[in-house]
Amino acid sequence: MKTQTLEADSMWLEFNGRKVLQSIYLKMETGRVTGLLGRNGTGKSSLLRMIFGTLRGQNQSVRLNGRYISHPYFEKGLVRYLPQSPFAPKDLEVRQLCSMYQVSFAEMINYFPELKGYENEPVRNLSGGKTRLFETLLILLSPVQFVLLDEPFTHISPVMVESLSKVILDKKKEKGILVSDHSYKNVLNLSDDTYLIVPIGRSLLLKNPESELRSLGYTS
Amino acid sequence: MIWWYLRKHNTAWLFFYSNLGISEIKLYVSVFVIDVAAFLVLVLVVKLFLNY
Repeated sequence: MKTQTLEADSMWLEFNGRKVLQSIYLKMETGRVTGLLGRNGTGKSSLLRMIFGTLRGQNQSVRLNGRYISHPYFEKGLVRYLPQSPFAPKDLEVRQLCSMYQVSFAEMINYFPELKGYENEPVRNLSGGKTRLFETLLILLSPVQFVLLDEPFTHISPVMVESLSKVILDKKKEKGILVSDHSYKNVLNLSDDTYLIVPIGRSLLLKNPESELRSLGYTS
Repeated sequence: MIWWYLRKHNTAWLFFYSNLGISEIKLYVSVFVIDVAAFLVLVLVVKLFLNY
């Protein structure tokens, strides 16, 4: 399979004159996991939404294999995004959502047998952790080239984080995955490339993540 | 007002639609058209009921 490249370049975002992101560059490739780290309020989620195409900044350029795309989420089979908050309508059943997102429920329970038995249940009957897990899998197992995961490990128990990490590593064979989470050790373990957004709104590609994160004040 | 309220207080649910490739404007225009169509059908039914 030919490697696909999704680049976000010159991402510039201001809110009421306050600069959030300045001239950010980030590259994703199929077959690789890209980690995105940054302190609270540095604009990680905004950057993901800009790459996805639902948030317009002062300037942005998202390119697939060098071709500019104005709204990536309009492109069929290109990208899906897991937001921080629950997004699935609570009244829809798990199997209906799987069908709409073209995800196999059998594959889902293959990875997480604990979801077995929820196929015909509405999302509201799932616990908070299971809802988060289900939504993460819904995005991760989608038939798209790239997925953007915003805090996928939030509300999930450590054992599930381990299992989810295995799914991410398994799925990176066929897609490009961007993971942004405050659980930075999990992100570092998964990532082939790691970017850090520093408070002035610039992105740095880390060569030695552990030491650079310390020297840049992300960890102590 | 409903659009403003949902955008301000409940933005995440919009990603359910954008992940399916449906833009916000397309979603709201569709809902508005369906609402207007439903209203017109209701008016028609009431009118038919009153006339016959």
